[in-house]
Amino acid sequence: MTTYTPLLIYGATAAGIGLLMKHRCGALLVERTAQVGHEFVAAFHPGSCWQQNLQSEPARQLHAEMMRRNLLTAEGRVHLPPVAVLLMNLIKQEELNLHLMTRIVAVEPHASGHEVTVHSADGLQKIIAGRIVDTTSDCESCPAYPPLPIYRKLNAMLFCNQVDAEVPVLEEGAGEIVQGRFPGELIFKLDLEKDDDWVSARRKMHRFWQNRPASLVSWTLAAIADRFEVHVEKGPHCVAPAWRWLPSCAYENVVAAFDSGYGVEQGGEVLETVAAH
Amino acid sequence: MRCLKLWQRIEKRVENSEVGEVEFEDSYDVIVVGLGTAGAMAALAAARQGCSVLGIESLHCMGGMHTAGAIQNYYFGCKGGLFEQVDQQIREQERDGYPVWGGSSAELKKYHLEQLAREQGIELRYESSVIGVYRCGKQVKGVRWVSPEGVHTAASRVLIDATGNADICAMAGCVTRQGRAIDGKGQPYSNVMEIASANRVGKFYTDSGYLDPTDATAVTQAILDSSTVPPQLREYYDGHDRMLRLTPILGVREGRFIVGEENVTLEAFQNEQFTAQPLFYAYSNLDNHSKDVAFESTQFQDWIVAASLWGLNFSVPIPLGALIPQGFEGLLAAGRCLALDHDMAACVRMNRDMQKCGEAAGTAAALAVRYDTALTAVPYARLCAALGATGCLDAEGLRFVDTSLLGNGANGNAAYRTATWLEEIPAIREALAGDKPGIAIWSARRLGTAITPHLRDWAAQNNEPLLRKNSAIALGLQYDAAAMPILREMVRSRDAYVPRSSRKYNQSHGITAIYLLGKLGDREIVPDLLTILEDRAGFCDSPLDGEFIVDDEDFFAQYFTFSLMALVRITQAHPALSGAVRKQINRIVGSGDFALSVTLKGSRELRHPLRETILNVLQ
Repeated sequence: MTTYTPLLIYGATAAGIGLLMKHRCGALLVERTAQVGHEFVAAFHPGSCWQQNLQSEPARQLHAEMMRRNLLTAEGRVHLPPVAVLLMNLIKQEELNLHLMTRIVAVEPHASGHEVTVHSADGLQKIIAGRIVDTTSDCESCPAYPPLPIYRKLNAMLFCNQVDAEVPVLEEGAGEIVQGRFPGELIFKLDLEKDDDWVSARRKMHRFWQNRPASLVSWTLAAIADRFEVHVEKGPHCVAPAWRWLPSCAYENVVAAFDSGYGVEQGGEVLETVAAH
Repeated sequence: MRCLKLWQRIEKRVENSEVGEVEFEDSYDVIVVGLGTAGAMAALAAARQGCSVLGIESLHCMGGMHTAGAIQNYYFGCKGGLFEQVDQQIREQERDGYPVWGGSSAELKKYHLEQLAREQGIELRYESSVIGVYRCGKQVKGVRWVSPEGVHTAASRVLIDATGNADICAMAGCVTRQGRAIDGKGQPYSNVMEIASANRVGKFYTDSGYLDPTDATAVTQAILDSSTVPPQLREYYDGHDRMLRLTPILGVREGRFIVGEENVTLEAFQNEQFTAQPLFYAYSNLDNHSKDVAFESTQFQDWIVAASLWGLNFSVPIPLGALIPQGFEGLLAAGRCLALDHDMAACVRMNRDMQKCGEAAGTAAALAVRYDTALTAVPYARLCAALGATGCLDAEGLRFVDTSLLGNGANGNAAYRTATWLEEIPAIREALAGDKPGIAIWSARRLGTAITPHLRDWAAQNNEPLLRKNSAIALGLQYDAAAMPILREMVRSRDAYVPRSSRKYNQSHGITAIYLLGKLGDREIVPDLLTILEDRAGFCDSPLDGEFIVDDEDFFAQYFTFSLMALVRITQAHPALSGAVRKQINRIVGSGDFALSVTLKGSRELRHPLRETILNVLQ
């Protein structure tokens, strides 16, 4: 049975969920993986600029919830992993229309917009979509489209069993250390080449770690991110008529991305009027 | 190749279409779909034998639940095989700079598997999925798959389905089965998170409920539901047991199974029907995470409920035929989807054994390619030699290990004591008179009618209460009516005695007696069972074990479900009773406010509602 949706959102990113929340029954979101908000949370990318004004009430509520649950400090230190839990809780409470573990296989022109073939545990399925907004970091719905990112990183959570261990200082060019919400919650960021795949990125991370500087000797590499931290130009970019790329990763942090997704169409059909990339 | 058809799963239905001649983009000796616990080893084993290999994986790494899923520790399973070499390399590296928890560093294992794959020339394609299978008759010829770069085709001599859920076999039109007979449910799944506490890194999970992993809507709901309960969702995060991440993969213990050229079932195992040509031995206990045991098969309950043998580990020889979908060529299944039944899957699913299963599949595929033979015709002697050389196939063979006793060191089980069935009548009597009667009860079952007179005699020994009751249980397993009076006493007194046959999850005599009287079709116990169904208030101050029975509702749920199933069996044996009994049951469970639940393992808060299954049973 072919289903119809006025708006098909690809990627359970923060922007994608924001956009879904705005459109609610008028939209369907599909996500290739089991994760939400992954461009920040699974990438171990806390982001920045937490002081900026949020435009939408749902984003302000999300921000307030993070503060209330002690996931975010006034200085912008974040305990990231539970943010995905909050987003999932929001999806459940708002009864948003979302399919995880579902990937777009192909997009073909259709009289009503696009005929989209998706693949999930159910097998293949056709969806007729009036419009598509792809919020993934690589514009996964159109492999031929995306320009190279501005930069990419592979991040890792560090762990030290000395609770009062000092935050290590790295030399210029040896990566970056970001402090999380709690003592001992450190994220190490390693710069990648734009074309590094998972195999080469992981190899770089482990080689760096096995030859790490003295300041990191007492730390262990606890978990490597499941997503790359990707930086691209903010969207929306025009992939084709009624098909936009709104990369969530382009925003400063997970709440800002949610806010932008929710508000991107305020004041008119913003997504429709952006010039072709 | 004009006979080709493309087989696909479309909206839960398997469909095929003529595709005429296909120009495959690439061609490989072996394609492995799913590079998880089994698939990673399948790819490495095939490449090690000289095959060209394409590995297609939906995640971004190798190892599946064993790495990305954070279950890197080993719960039993047999030692030996290619994975040991990988683990050894990891052990040497993880001393410096990696947190050691469980079996090995998951990050290092991802890395080492990947490096080995590169060294052996395996083409790894991550974040990719198979969407179609090309067949010529029953011969699988290749796949249609999608990656971040788009849609591709690739030809294979042998295709290995290591997706865990037999997704590829199902797509190809193979016959599969799934779940237990009564309601199709598999085992509960878990949602694992990695945590950091004051001085260690570790994982945390509870059982989260039941999931059909072949249903997309159910998968989404399961991810959302299991991620938004404590301790993932907390009112206030104070840094205690700080989350490192939610793993990107659900811990699904059971999905589809193929129907194989040979099938490994608990019933065959209990009847001691084993293959003479094993590729490897799986080894564990019947570690079914379900608490609603009354809804499991009689084979399972004979072992777990009547004999309380939850903690008896055993090895299971797995033949090549259990990896070959029945009637198909060029296709193998590796991992937990091999040709098992739901009962046996509780044992044959552990990390070590799934890695072995992958190695066995990859090796069999490579030998079929090398000798240009059908998979069913791969010479066992060559397979045996190749798998023996790595330790995948160990020489120890069949064994039983009592994990309630510290022991004498068997393969992988240095901590526990080897067990053997009892053959001598005095030894069985002695064990039945003690508080660890499980092995004796099963030994009596093995001896059959030869021991029946002795059991009847012992059941009459009023001065030895344990001997009397345990003998009645053994007689009950033999369908001997002489057991009934004693079993009825145990039901009426709600006998709370719990044997110590297993290290945990032993069943109380009251529950055991209800189960056996149901099997015996005892009409005399019907009023007592109906009383139990209505006596929720009578189950207060229950004997709790902190794990299986954690509150009064758990205890009542056990009595209720066992009584219900016993009544169903009794009315099947005595159809004349059916109308009146069903009327009473329907009065109890048919009311809108009827509810019953059990806690899920590892949690005191999460509960699994039983109403739906109960109503299904009655229908």
